[in-house]
Amino acid sequence: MRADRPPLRLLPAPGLELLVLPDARFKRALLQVHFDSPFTDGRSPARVLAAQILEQGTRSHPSQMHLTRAEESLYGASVGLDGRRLADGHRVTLAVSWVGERFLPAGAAVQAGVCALARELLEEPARDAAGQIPAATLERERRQLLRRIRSLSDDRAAYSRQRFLQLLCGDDPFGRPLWGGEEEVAALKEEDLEAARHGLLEQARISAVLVGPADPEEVAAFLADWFGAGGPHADAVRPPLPPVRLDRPDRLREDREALPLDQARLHFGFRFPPPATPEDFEALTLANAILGGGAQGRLFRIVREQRSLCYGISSSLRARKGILAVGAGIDAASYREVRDEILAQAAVVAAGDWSEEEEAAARAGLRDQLDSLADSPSGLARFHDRERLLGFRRTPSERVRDVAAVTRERIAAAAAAWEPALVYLLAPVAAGEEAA
Amino acid sequence: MSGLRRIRSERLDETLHLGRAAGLRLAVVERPGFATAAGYFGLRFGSTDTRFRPAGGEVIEVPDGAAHFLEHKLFEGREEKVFDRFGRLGADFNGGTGFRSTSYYFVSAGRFEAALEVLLDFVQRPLITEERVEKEKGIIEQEVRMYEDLPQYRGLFLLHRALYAAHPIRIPPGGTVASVRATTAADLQACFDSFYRPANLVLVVAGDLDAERVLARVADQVEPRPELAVERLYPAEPERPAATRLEEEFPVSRPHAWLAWRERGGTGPGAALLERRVLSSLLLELALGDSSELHQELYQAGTVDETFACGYSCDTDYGYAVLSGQCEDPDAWADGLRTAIRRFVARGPDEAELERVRRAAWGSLVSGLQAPGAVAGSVLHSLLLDQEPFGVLAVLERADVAALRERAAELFDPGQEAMAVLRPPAE
Repeated sequence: MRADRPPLRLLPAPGLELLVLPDARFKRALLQVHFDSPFTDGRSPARVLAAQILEQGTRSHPSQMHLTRAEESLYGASVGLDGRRLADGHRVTLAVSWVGERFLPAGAAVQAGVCALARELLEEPARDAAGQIPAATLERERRQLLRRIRSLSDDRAAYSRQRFLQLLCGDDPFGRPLWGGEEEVAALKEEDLEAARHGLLEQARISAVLVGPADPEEVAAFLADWFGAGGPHADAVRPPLPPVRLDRPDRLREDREALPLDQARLHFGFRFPPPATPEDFEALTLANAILGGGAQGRLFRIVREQRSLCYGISSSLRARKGILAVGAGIDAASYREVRDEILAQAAVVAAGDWSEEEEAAARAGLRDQLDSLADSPSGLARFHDRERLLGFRRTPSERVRDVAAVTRERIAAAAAAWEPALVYLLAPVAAGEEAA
Repeated sequence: MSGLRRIRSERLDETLHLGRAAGLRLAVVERPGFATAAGYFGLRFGSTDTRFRPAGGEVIEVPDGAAHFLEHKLFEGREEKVFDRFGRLGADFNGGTGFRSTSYYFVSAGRFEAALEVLLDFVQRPLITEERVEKEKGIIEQEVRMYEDLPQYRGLFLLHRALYAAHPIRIPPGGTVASVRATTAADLQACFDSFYRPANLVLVVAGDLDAERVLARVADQVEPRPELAVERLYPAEPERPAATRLEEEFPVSRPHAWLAWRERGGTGPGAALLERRVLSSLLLELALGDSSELHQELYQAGTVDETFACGYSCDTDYGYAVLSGQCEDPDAWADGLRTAIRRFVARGPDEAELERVRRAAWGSLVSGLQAPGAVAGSVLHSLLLDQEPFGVLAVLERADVAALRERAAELFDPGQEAMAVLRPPAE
């Protein structure tokens, strides 16, 4: 069973672990290099804009056009930077992928070329004659980011998710958008962006995952040359990430905003203490699956199928941050009914009052997801990275065994720890009402 | 001998077996060593099929969105909800309704045969009653309204209304709240009886499977229903777009714009349609993709930004190339793009550019055929359009500069251009 196979663990540089899952079944290889920085360093907006600018060109590929041409010439290889929240940190991922060499014409090779391009993206950005980010590029990309911030509410679903998280987290920076606010972006200077880029290379905690038809030794050597002894960052000091901030609600709050829209968006947030052991983690995962983890969850079957109150409703976890979030698109007039039903169904799960069939379906769904990971390079990369972050380091098969060992009592106990924290409704503007 | 025909693509490392099982078309794609297996079941019946005449019968007219409503009702199952049946197996599943086709799928790790049985059963044996139809209306209404809040969705259908005066792609696949409310069980039953017959159904499975065993199991589960010729009644479409520009107020922070060129006519199904789609997609990449000089100029001048996108959409009787993005001044945006397209048509692509873009398209094609679910979906799409699976490879390899120049001159016809704009409400 491929799902039994643990990743190879290589250490190309001190503190940089490369997890490797070579797999010739896949047609495309995937390398992710993660750079993790704490929110407390205050550089998230600069990192967002810096990453955007870095994708505009390098010294030898001085524009987006040249970079794209380089990728095309490498048979559609891709190199890019992406950012997301990760517990109380900002993770910037350098994502690199390329077609397996057995599909290329005889003698063609792309792995070394695309890895070199990836390094160049971060190490040798396009600069003007004074060695600075070209002013035109900086201002153009700043304008783009500002427009993206201003247009967030054009996508009502994305806007409501962001507002919900912000309201749920209060003054915890986890709730803020990574790019901060318009004023912060407007105030960023060239040196802030350069400091952000240096911070990624010299201070961020780095880890990497490689999956698919790739040469692991060559990738390890590439990372060793970049971050290991004798490389440009051999003396870097990478402080550990601070402990995750965990808040508990003192009561259930309700918040409502209005915008011109057709369908209202409801978000219900619960807080809980993050799971400390694999058993606690699986109990929580199963409790979430029984509540609203899919079409077999109680929320979907009762709120949608029995009561026809919505089209989509589901719940999801941010386990390390201790957040359970339920999201649904509803008719604003159904707000109370849906809110009360979510509370009622969470209570049902906490009381252990579900049927054998529901539990079996939750277990079967989770088992299928874990068994299916073996066919997904990105799924495998995500899985093993998360296991590393959680400190569990299991294979998918080991998780399957842990899931099987979880008892009903433990699942109910996990749900009993959910504390209702916030219900947020983004509702249509009523006639004569001002938008939020 | 089963009569399954083996097709092998060495360059893509793909093997599939094509044949018929009790009347329905079947394809089995080999995926040795993979943990999951997928089943994709579909037919050429979609949201635009709202007027039709079964052989020997009267013309039937159903409300917009009927095909999508029927898809929902099939998931209710006859005796038990399909959600619960797949749920017991832990399988991932869903369905989708397009303008001209409907499809249903599952992906399962280890429960393939049981999941296939559920798929074949619920798609062929629905129970459609007035009570069940009424109950579903609230759910579908919420789905329709969810899409109505998306600017890219609203704008796209505004563009369709500009491009076409009568073609049913003017209406979204889900219909409207009013058409959903007007739908009856009799409407859905008429659709099912007319189109959901083995001769119209295509099943594609992919995984570490034995093709002969799959064939035998499928043949046992096909509901024997005679073939029925159905004439689809589409309105005649004028030769020119319905409007050169349509504009609508929508709650967006700045204008969203679409600029499109409509094909003068359709190609029908098969190889000609595939060729047109591949060449047109290559053209757009060459003209305004991220690696083109024209895109670079427009991007650096601020005419387009990161929201800019280009694409080609087509089926047997329609097709259009579309450019879209957000901007401050839609007219300046469109003028910049028109000028760029004119310059591109005048000079055409060169060999080196084509070779580079061809390489990238090749990488994308290979990468898209990885997991069993993705391969099965791709093969189903090809078969529903009577196209050879993986036939895109041959078109890509033989595409040359002369064919692309000819395609460019044909596609970017100023007389077939239309524009749609969503503009923010006045302060």
